[in-house]
Amino acid sequence: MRALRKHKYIYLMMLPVMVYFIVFYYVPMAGLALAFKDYTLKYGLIGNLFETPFVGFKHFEAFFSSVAFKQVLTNTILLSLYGIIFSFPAPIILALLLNELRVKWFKNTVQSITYMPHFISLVVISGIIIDLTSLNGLINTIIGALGGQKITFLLEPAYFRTIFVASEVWQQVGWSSIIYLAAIAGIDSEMYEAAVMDGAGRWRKIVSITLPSLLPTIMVLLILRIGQMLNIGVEKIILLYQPMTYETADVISSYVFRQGILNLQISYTTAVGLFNSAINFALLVCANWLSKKNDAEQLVVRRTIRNGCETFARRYRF
Amino acid sequence: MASISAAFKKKSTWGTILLATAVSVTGCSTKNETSATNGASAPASTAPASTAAGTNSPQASAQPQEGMYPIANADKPITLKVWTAADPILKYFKNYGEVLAFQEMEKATGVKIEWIHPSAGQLQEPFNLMIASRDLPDVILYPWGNSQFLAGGADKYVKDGVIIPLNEYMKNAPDYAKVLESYPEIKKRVTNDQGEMDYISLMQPDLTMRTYNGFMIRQDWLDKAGMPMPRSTDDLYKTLKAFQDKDVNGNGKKDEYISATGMDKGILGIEKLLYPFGATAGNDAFIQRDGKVVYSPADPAFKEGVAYLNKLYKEGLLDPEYMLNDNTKLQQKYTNGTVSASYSSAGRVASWAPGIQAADANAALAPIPSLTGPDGKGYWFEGNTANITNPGVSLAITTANKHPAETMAWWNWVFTQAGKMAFNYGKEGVTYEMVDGKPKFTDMITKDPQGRTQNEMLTLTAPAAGLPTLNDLEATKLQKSEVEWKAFQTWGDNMPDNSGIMSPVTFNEQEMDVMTAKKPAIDDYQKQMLDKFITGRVSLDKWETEFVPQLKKLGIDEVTAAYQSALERYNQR
Repeated sequence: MRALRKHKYIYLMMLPVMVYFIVFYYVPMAGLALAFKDYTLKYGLIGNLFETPFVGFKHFEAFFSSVAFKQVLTNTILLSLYGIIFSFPAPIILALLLNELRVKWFKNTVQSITYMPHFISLVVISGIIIDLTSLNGLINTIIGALGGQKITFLLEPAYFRTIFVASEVWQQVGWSSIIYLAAIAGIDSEMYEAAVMDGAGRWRKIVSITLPSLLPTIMVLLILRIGQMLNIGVEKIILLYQPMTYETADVISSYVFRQGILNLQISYTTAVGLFNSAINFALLVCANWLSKKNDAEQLVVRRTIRNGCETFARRYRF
Repeated sequence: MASISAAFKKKSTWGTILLATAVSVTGCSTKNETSATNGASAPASTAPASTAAGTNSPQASAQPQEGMYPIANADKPITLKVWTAADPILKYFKNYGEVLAFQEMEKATGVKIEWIHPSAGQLQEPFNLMIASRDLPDVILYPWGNSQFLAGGADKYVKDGVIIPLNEYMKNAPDYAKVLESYPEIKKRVTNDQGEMDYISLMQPDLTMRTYNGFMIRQDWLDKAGMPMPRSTDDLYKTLKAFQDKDVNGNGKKDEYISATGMDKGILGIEKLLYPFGATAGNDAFIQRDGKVVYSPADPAFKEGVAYLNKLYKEGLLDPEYMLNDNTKLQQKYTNGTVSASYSSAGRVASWAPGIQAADANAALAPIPSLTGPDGKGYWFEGNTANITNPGVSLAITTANKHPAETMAWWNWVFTQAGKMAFNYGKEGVTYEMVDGKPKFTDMITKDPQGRTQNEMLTLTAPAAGLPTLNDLEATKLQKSEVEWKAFQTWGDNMPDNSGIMSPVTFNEQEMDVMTAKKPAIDDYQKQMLDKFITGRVSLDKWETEFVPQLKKLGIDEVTAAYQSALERYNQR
């Protein structure tokens, strides 16, 4: 209580954030009850919570026994796994590479170019992907020039995941590398100087100093990422898939969009969405438990973040 | 270390973020503007007449009479919120309030309208969101009669308390009632099994004016290849082959394709190419044959049609990437000379031609009259050709409407003489002049300085064809450009057997339950398989051994039975 009074302005500053979370994250949770009801158009969202009968796990059973279940679950898990395997390490590697660059203008240019795609609208990105991969697109022109067989990439279920993950990497790599660059900036430069004295080359410095120092940041981001695992960029999937590639492209969220928004099966898709969130929640709890297990590591994390902030503040005279 | 400064110091970057946020915020808001600018003076100018109208309140008048207007004035203002797609006008106008005919309507009726339009190209999604959240306007224009857009049909929406039956208020719309009296077929179509009329639909009593869809082909390529107009699917195959062999686009590649749009991406879908075989596919692939409902994808005619498309695909005559096309992409492919033929509409025959001609001066598009299938007959499943009422354009009154009687009287104006003139021709002295007792469009419509077509100008001033009105053959002919009207006539005069089109049935509750539980999965599966069969990813041998059994497993027999009983009820009306 004393702390509350002492730091009242700080708490006051937090208030809008809490209101935001309550209004946009906690209140809508009441809508999850629709998963256990039979939604009718008669009552509207609020009315349905009170007026319609409780039907138990009917919609969950319908989903688990539907033909789509196995397909969308497999696709969701595979796409997120590929996301973690490929698009998670990419910004780390980019940050390490950028850190080694000594020509300032070149480094800045590379950085600007790599994070530019982050600001392009998804619809435009999808348009670019469709054009690039079309039969007359750049990729097929190159394949054709090299004497290969042209491929209708977006029609082949086998290529969908590659296209999706690769474009994800291209779009986010520059932007995501910023946080790693910030962490690298926080590493004590004395360690590098000492290493140079000991005769360490660049590679040695990366492996023995930069990477270990980055590890806590990487761990924190990985844990956060795992909690978000099943939230896939569904908008891009909807823009890129079509019936022929459903077998590898249709994920839980795109299925929810088709059945819920286009076919108006509100209760059914709420159940499907809730199932998705439940898995996410379980993953987050596991990840959190893992991170708590290693308290020492938490200390390192805190220290690194603090160091990073201090260095940053010093450098920019906050 | 400068890398961080690059990230954080860059003002332009943050500017981009702000801009992106702003764009996404405004992008989400619906267009919601009142037509106040033009409407403000209307009640005042019509005020003297309102005293007379006061005695003739719409509730009291049972006979058609001009005296029933205005129905609202400054003392008794009525503002209605109307939700409708307005794609053709959104390019130039904020909302329908800027369209001349609606301005005339507001002047005459005194009813002010607050228009709500979903973004261009969107219909079902914003509609479903609006209904699910029960944020209801007073009037909704939507394909109320089209089950492709409306799970369960208008009936379900009456039961769920979204819209109200109009029967009670028919006395407020005497001119509309008269139309129904003179066309019993229309009345049958807009009345459901319980005798309720749920919506007012666009009415097109003449076959020619409702046949606005058909196949089209590059006429100049036919001439170049020395081929006659194809009249059967075999002819079409030979023609496409000749186009490629003679390299009619002259680029040295065999890339003159017949094409379509992906089924969920555009409205010129591949399933239309199955029509000549007596088959169809997509969301609503139920057809009738001798009073029996048939699910087309499970019918042998479908296999035959798909085998044909598969042959075209294998031989490189069908656009290998048709599934990725939307309407714009297809138009682009016509323009860059890689598409020779497709399913199309009269409007597109006319409006796509100039773009294609800009790239190739000799280009000409022509409607293919009709195509016969292997049995020597042709078939057609485009609902609008059978429907004297066009279910795609209809108006319903919601339960949120506090003035249903006045709303009916308001729309009734469209069926009065003055309303007919306004919505078919616009305003005398502005968009048309009377010459020898007949309306003739002025230069404003026919010679737009910005180069817009007559059709486009009429959409912006007198949009009868896109609204729930009674279309008139003379007016329709006058409204269309020559090219467009020729397409209407060509397709209308050569209409193949269209008796297989499903009647506008309504489902009862048990049937409805079957539909909502089974149909989405069936539609999903069938659409995936259609493209796989056509492209040969799945062999057509699997049609009997895998596809049909799987459809049965998903419950196609129950859904077909539901359609069957609904059809029997419809036929007994």
